[in-house]
Amino acid sequence: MSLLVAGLQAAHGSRPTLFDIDLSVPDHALACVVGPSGCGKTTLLRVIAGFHTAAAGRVELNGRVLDQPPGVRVPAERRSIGYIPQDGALFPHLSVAANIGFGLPRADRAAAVARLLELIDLVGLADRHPHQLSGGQQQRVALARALAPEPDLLLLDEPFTALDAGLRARVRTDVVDLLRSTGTAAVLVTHDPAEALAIADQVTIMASGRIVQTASPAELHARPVSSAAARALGDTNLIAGLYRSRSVSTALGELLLDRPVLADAATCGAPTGQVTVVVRPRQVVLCGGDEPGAVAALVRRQEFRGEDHRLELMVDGVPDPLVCHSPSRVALDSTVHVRVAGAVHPLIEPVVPSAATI
Amino acid sequence: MSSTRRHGHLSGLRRRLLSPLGLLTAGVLLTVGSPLIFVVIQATRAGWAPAKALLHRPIAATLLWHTITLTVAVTTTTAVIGFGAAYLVERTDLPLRRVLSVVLVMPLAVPEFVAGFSWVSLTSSVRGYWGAVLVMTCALYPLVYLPVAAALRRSDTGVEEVARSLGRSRWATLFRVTLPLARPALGGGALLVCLYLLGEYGAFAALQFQTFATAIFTEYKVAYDTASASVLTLMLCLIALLVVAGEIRVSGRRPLARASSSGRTGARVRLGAARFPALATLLALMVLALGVPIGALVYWWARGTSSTLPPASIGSDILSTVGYSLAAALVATLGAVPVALYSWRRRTRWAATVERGAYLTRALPGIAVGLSIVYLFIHYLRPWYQTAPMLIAGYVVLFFPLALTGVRAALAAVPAGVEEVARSLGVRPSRVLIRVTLPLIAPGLGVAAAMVMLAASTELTATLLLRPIGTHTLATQFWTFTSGLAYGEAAPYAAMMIGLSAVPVLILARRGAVR
Repeated sequence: MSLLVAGLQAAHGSRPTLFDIDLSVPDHALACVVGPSGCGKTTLLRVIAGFHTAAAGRVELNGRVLDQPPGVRVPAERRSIGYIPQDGALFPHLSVAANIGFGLPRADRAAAVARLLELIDLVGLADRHPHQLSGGQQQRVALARALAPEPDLLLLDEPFTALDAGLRARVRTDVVDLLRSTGTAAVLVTHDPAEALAIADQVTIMASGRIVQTASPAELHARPVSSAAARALGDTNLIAGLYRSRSVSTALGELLLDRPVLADAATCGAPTGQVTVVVRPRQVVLCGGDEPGAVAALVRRQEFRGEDHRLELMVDGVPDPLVCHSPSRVALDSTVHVRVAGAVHPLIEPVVPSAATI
Repeated sequence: MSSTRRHGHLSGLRRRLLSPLGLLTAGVLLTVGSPLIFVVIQATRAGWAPAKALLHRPIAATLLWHTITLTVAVTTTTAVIGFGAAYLVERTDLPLRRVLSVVLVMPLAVPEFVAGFSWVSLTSSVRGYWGAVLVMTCALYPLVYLPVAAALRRSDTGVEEVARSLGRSRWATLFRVTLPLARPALGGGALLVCLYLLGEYGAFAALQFQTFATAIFTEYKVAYDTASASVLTLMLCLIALLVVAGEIRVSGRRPLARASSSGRTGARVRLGAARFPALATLLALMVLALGVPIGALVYWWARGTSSTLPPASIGSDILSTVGYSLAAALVATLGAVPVALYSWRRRTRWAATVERGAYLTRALPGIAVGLSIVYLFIHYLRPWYQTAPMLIAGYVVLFFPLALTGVRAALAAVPAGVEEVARSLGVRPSRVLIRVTLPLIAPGLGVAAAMVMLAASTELTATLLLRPIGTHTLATQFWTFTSGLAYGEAAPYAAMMIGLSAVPVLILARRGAVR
C-alpha cells in the first residue's frame, strides 16, 4: 500500500468537515475521489498534502506516519507528496524550465528539466512564461513540475475543470499516460463521475464528509452498496420490491437478482422481505406489449443526447420517473412497453428509500 | 472522539498565535498602535479638571461647530463631485475621458497647505468657512473619485445592461444600480475625506479657519499648554473614531461588487449634446483644483526671481527630506510585510480583524499622532527626543496604513496556492518566501515604499512637531517662508513638493487605469 488513511477527521474552524475517513491507495495506482462540491474531497487532499491540520486519525505513506494528531505532523515540504491545484498555480515570475526545476537541487536541474520537457512534449517552450502558455500546456507544466522531485504520491485537485470541454479529454489522456509511464501513485479529486470511471484504477465516492464506497470502477458501477453510491455515478433507477429467494418482485415485474440477499439479511434487517434494487437505465429496454415481463409506461420527457435518447417514463407503482436510454425516438405522452434486461443488484440498506426521502 | 478533536483545535490555535509570523505581526501592530494608547494615557493623566475647564470655554463649542459643519459640507461636495466625475469618465462617451482619468487625480499632488496658501496669496476673500469649503473640496475630491472610478471599472456592466433591458431609464439605472454598486468605494472615499479634514492643520492655518487641529497646534506650540492640547486631541480622536464606526455601519454589509468576468466593457452611455456642459464643468474643476495653485506658484516664482534667487539651502533641504522619508518608507514597508502576509495566508476572520486593527491608526489625525509620539519620547525614550528616529517614527506610524494597503495589493495579485505548491515540492517555508513570495511582490513593495516616501516628503504637521532642531524639510521651509509672506522664496519649495508628489499620484492613476 502506498497511501493509508485511517479514521481521519478534520474541521474548518469549529465545523467538522471530514468524518472517519478510511482510504488506501495501492502502489502505482490512480485513485479518484468523486463527490459533489462541498463534500470535503478537497479538504481530504489538503490534509494528505499537509496544508490542513488533521483533528484525529492517521495518514501514512509507504509505512511512514505523516499525520497522527496530537503528536505527529510532518510539514508539507518533507512529505514527498506532489500537489497540483485546480489552476496549476504555476509560478508566474519563473520560466517554464525554472518552474519545472523548482523542487530540484541546483546541480540536477538542467538534465531533469530537459527530460521532463520531452516527456510533456514542450521542448521548445522552456523559456516561455506561464502567461504565454495555453491552459492545457500550463497543466502539463504543472504536472512535470510536480513529478520532477519524484514524489511518492501525487495529488491532483480537479486538474481538468478549468479547461474547455474539447481540450479536457486530450489533456486528461496525456496526464493519465504520463502518470502510468512514471508509475507514480496518485489521488485525483473530481466532481465528474464519468471522468473518474474513465481513468481510475480505484474510485472512492464521498458525500457530506464521509466515504460512501471505495471500489474499482467496474465493481462500483455494477455493485453499489447504497442508494447514495448508486446515484453518485449518474442516472439510476432505485426500485423497491419484495425479496423471493433468487429474484425480487417489483412493479416492473419479477426481476432476477445478481446475488442472493440472504447473506445480508441478518445485518440489514430484511425480515419483512423488502429490498431495493438498482436498475441501470440501459437495462430498461423498449419492447413489444406481448413480450414476457413487459410493463406499460407513459413517456413523460425525452432528451436527444446524440448517441441515444434519454427517456423519463411513468410506470404504475413506481413513484419516481423511470430513466431509460433508448436508441430510438418515441413520441412524448405516448404509451410504450418496457422490460428489464439482465440481473439487477440489491442494495445493502436497511430501509427502502424512496426518492422523496433523499 | 470529541476530546481529541478539541485537543487538535487547541493546539492549532496555539500554533496560530505563536508562529514566528504571528509574533512578528503582534509586535508590529503594538508598535504602530502605541500612539492610540498614549493619547489615552496622557488624557487620563491630565485628569478631569482641565478637561472641564476647557469644555466650559466657548472655544470648545466653536471648534466643534466649525469642525462638524466643515466636515459635513466638504464630504458632501467631494462625494457628489467624485462620483459624478467617475461616472462621466468610466460610463459615458465624454470627450477627452482618457486624459481626464489621469488629470482628475492630479490635485492629490498638491499638498493641501500649498493649495491653501496659493489661494490666500491671490485673494484674501477665501479666508473663513466658505473659502475652506472651496479649497478643501478642490483638494480632496480625488480621494472619492479614485476608488469610485476603480470600482466602476472593475464592476460588471452586465447588471446595468440588465436594468436597462428591464425597462429602467438611464437615470433610474444610475441611481438604482450604478450608485449602489459604487457605494462601498464611495463610503471608503468619503471616510478618507473626513479623516483628512479632521487632521488638516496647514491649510486651515493659511485660510485662518479654526478647527480642532489648528487649536491643538496653537495650544501646544504657542501657549505650551500640553494639558489642553491633549484634551482637545482626545476629543478629536473620539470624533474620528465615531466617523470610522459610522462608515462601518453604513457600508458594513457590503454588497460584493461582482468583478467583470469577461473583461468586456459594455456600451457607454451616450451623452449627446450634454457632453459639452459636462466637459466644461470638469475643466472648470481642473482650473480651480490645479490651475489656481500652479498658476499662483508660477506667478510668485516669476516675481520672486526678479528680487531674490532661490535660497542656496534648497539642495540640503531636498537631501534631508529624501533621507527622512526614504528611511520611513523602508521601515513602514518592512513592517507591513508580516502583517499583510499573516492575514493573506490565513484568510480567517481572526486574521482579518488583526489587519483591520492596523487601520485604526488611520483614524488618528496627523496632529494627534505627532503629539503622542512627542509624549512617548519625552517619557520613555528621552535620549532620542528631537532626534532623527523620532521624526522617522512619526512618519512610520502615520503612513503605516498606506504601506499596508500597498503590500496587500501586491499580495492580492499573487495566485492562490503557489506557496503551497512550492512547499509540496520540498522547499522550506523560509526558502519559499525568498524564492516565490518576495519575488512576486517585489514590484508592489517598491510601489508601497514609493507611496510612503512621497507622502512623508510633503508632510507638514507632524514634521513641524517632531523634527530635530535645525532640520528643515521642503514642507517646513515652505511653511517658514509663507508665514513671513515671502511667497517668492516659498514657490520653489512648493514646486518641488508638487513634482515629487506627482510621481505616486501618476502611479495611482495608472494602476487604476490598468486594473
